[in-house]
Amino acid sequence: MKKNKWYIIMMIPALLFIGIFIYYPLVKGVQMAFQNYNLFNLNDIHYIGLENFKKIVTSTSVSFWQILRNTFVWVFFSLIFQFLLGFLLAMMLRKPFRGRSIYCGFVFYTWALCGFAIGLIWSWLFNGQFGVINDLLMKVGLIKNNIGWLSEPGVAMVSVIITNVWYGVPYFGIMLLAALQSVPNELYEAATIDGCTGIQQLFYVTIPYIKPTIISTVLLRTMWIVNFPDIIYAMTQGGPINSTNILASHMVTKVFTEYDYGQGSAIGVIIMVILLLYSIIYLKVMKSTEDDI
Amino acid sequence: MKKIAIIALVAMVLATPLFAQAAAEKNEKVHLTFVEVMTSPERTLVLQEAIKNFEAANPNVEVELVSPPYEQAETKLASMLAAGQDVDVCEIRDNSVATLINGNLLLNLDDYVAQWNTKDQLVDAALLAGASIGDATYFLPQYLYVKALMVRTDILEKYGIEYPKTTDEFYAACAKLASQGNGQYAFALRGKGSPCKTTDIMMLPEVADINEDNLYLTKDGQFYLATEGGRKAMQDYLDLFKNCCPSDAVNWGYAEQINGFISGTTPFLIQDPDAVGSVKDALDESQYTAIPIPVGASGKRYLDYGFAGLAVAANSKHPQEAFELVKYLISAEVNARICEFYGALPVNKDAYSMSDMFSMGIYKEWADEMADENTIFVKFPLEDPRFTEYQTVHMTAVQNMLLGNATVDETIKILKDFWGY
Repeated sequence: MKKNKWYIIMMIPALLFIGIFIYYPLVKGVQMAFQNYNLFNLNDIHYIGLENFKKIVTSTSVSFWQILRNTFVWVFFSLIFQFLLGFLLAMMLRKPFRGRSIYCGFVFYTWALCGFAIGLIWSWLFNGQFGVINDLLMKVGLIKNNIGWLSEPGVAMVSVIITNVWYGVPYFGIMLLAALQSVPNELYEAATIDGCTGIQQLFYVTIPYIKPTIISTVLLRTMWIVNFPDIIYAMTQGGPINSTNILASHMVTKVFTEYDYGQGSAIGVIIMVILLLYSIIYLKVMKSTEDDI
Repeated sequence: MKKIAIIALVAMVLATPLFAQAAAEKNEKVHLTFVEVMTSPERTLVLQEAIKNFEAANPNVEVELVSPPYEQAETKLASMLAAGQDVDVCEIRDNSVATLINGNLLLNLDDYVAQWNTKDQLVDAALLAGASIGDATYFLPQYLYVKALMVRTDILEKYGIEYPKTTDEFYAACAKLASQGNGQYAFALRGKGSPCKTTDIMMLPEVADINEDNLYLTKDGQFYLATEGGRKAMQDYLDLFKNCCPSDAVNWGYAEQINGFISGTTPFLIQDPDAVGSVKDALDESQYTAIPIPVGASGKRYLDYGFAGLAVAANSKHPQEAFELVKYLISAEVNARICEFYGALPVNKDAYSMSDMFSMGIYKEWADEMADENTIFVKFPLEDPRFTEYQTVHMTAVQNMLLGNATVDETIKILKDFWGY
C-alpha cells in the first residue's frame, strides 16, 4: 500500500505537466469552438451552441465541401508519393557504400527545414513569371508559354503537393531505413535458398517484417500532413479561389487574419474528429489484415 | 552542520522579498513595461537606444522593453493586456487596434492629448488616424503608410510615356507598355494578401462623394462599387489584368510585386513607402520614383492612412509617465530615426525637415501627395469586425473574376451582399 502511494506521488509532476500543457489547451479549444470568441469583442464571450460549425459549413465565400475535398487530395497524394519515394530511397540506402553517411546527411537535410521557408523557396521556383521551373522547361522545349503553377486553380494544388512530397520523403526514408536495417540477414538467406526472387523477397520478407513501422509512420504522417498548412500558406495562402485551401490553412486564416478564435477552434475540432475516426478505422483495418496473416 | 546550512538557506529565501521590498522603497523609480509588436532585431536596437535616451532625460523612470517574436506579437500583446499583466505602453497596428479598443484594454488619451501643447507638430493624417477608431483617442500613430504610384522612370522614358495624372491616362499608359511585347507588362497587380487595400485605392477615384469614415460607402449611403463609376472601375481593373499584367499576378503578394517592379516586367506599382526599402538596393535612384495616385472621374484621389502607433494600457499604474514615453517616441528626432529605419512616413512634421531621407528624394513625393489639394483621406471600416473577413472574401471573389469564372456584376454583388449596404 505504501509503495502504491509513492507511485502516485511520483507520477503527479508528469500528470500535472500533461494536464496543464496538453489537456487544458485541448479542453479550452473545444470549449472555444462553441463560443462567440472573437478578438474584436473580448468583452462579449458567450456560448452560441453550434453556430460556429454552422457558419463554417454553410459559408458561401469558402465552400466547406471544397475544402474537405482539397484536404483529402492534399493528404492522399502527398502521403502516397512521400511513402513510395521514401521507401525507394531507404531501399537504395540499405546496403553500405562509401560515403553513405554523408550522402544520407544531404538527402535527409530537407526534413530539418522549416515548412514556411520551404514554401517561400518553392514559391519562387514555381513563380509563373520569373520561376526557374518554367525557365528550365522552356529551355528544354517541353513548354512554349509560361505555366502559372501557382495562379491556375487546376495546377496550384499539384504544385503545393510536389513541394510537400519533396519535403516529406526524407521522413519515410529515415524511418524505413532504420526498420530495414533491423531485418535479419538470415531471413534473406533462407528466402534465397527457397528460391525467392528479389521482388518476392520484398513482398514476403521485407515488407511483412517492417510492417509495424510502416503502419505507425503512415498513421503519424497522415496526421502531420492534415495539420500542415505551412507550405500552402507560404505559397498560395489557400488561393487562387480557394483551390489549395485545406482545413488547416482555413483555420490559420480564421485565427490570424480574421481574429475569429471561435470559428478557428471549430475547424480544429472538425480536424480532430476526422483524425480520430481515421485512426480508429485505420488501426482496425490494419489489425484485421494482420489477423489474416 | 547540514541542518544549519538548510536553516540558513530557508532563512535567506524567506528574507529575500524583505530585502527586495526595502530596495524598492529606497529606489523609487517608476517602472514602465513597453511591448513592441513590429519586432525585428535591428529595430529593437533602435528602440533600445531611444529608451536609453529617454531614461537619461527622466532619471526617475526605467523602461523595460518586451519584444515578442514578430509573428505572434499581436496575439501575445492582446493576451497580456486581457490577462491584466503589467503593460504600460504598447505598439498597435491599424488592422488589430480595434480589437484592443473594443476590449477596453487601452487608455482613453483625450485628456492627455488636450494638455499637450505641441501636438500640432503632428501631420494632419496622424491626428485623423489617432481619432479614427472608437469615440476617443486611444493611440497616437508613430508612422504612416500612404499609397502612391511607383514608376520605373527609365522604362517609361524608353517608350516615351508620360507620367499619368488621371486614371484614363494610367490605363492608356499601361496599354502602350503592354503592347511592346517581349514579356513587357505594365502593372504589378496584387493578387493575394489583402488585395482590397490596393484595388480600393485604384477604384475609388471614379466615384464622387465617398464617405470619409467608411470608404465603402458614398455619402448617400450606397456601396461605392455598385455605383456607375464603381462598376466602370471594376471593369477597367479586369481589363487591366487581362491585357496588361502577367496572368501569374493572380497569386502575387508583396514579394512578387516588388520583383516585377525591380525586373521591369511591371513598371507600375502601387505601394506604401516602405517598399522603397525593398527596391533601393536593386535599382539606382534615377531608375524609379513615386507619383501621386491618378485622379479619376471624381477629380479626386482617396487615400487611406495605414498606420502603426503607440498606446497606453488601460490598467497602467503610471499613465502619466507612460504618455511621456509615447510623446518622446514620436518627438521629431526619435520619430525620424525610427521611420528612417522602417521606410515609413513620420508623423512629426519636423521629422521631415530634420531628416535628409524624408526632405528630399522619393519620400518627398509621398509628402507632396499627402499635401495635394485633390487628396482626400478616407478610412477602411477597421472597427467593423467584418472587415477582416471581408479581406478574404474580396480576395477570393476578385480572383474568381480575374480568372474568368465570374462577371464584374456578379463580383460586385457578392461584395455588396457581404456588407449588406
